[in-house]
Amino acid sequence: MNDLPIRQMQICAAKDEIRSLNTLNQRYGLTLTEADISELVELRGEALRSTGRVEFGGGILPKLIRAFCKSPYVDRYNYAATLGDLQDAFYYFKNESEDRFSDDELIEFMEKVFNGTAHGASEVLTTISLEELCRWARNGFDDRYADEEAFW
Amino acid sequence: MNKLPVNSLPPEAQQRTLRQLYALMEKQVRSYTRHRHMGEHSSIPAELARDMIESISYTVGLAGGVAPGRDLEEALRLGQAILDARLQKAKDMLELVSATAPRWQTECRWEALGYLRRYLANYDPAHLAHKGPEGLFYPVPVPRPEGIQGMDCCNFYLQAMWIENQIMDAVPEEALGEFFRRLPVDTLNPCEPLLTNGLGKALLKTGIDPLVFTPEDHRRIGAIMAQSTEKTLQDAAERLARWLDLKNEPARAYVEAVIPRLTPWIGGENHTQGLENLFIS
Repeated sequence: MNDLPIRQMQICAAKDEIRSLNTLNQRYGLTLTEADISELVELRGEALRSTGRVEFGGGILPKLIRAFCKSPYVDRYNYAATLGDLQDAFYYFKNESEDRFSDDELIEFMEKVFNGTAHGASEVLTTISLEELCRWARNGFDDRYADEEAFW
Repeated sequence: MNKLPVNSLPPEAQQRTLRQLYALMEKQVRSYTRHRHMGEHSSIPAELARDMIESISYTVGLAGGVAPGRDLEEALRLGQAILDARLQKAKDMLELVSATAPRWQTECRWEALGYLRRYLANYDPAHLAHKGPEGLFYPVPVPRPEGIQGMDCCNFYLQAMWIENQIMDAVPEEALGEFFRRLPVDTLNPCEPLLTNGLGKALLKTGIDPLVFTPEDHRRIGAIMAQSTEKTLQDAAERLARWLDLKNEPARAYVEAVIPRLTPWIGGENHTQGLENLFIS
């Protein structure tokens, strides 16, 4: 079977769902342009390929949008780029955790770290390990580990 | 994603089936993660997705496969009803095999039965229907039909073990007990050496009680084999079948399939030393 139509269906389903969330997020002053949506969906495809995963339906982006649109660190200038980073980080953590965490659990951890220790720096989430994510989500950042963190 | 045979469909039907497959996979992923108490997962590892598509393909295949105008989800439901019936049959067969097993067994055979019991308890006909008892190590002397998957594979082993029970049951209990006491502990499937000894006894025309060989048996069989023709072994095979007096067709077919495999070994050993290694003494 040619899996190209499947990929096209995935892209269409994801774009439709993200588009529908624009109305909801306008109240936070956040909107994704068609170009943003296309880029995010393309990045999603790359992230899935590189982590060896397959996604059906609208994917994880709508959930990430719902969770992070309320963050004080997300504004219309960094909205699309932040979502791109969060999406990358999500699939990485998902694979690392061998699916032991559900989508919602993982997003909750990411939200805690993003709004807490990382102060809205999405690149922090793309550089930390799963173990650090869990530890920081539970306890916040521990100064004893400061020397180990190159980005800090 | 190359198992569901949609390429034979006209282009429009192909597109429709693929759309249905996509929607079905979304539901299957949700149902799978719920079934495993994993919480909600929007994505799954590609390997698992391939397995789930293969499962759909296998299940839909049981219900006649894909066709223009056929709803994939409906076909999946029909296939799952067939699987449920086969699963029940396999569970009944497992109980039958357990209940009819002789009290002497090889360790490998007990383990195989335990493995099949665990397999049936954990079998997931809704999401991974094509998965057979892949970790099972139990050599059966009749060839497994090519391409069988899932429950069919489990049923093949259970059917073989049930037949073996009948063969062992056809041997007088005392003779069987003595045979198992002399059987090397690392024997995997006891039925093949049992039929080998039975065939040897049929060559000697002494009956299958006792089933084990004596030094005198070895000497005599060596002399018979030195002058044997192909017909000598054929006659012995027929005699063994009469002695075992198996009542049902699958059991007779099993013996008929195994004996031609054994005769070249026995026929090839025309000296006493080789025969001593072949028969349980």
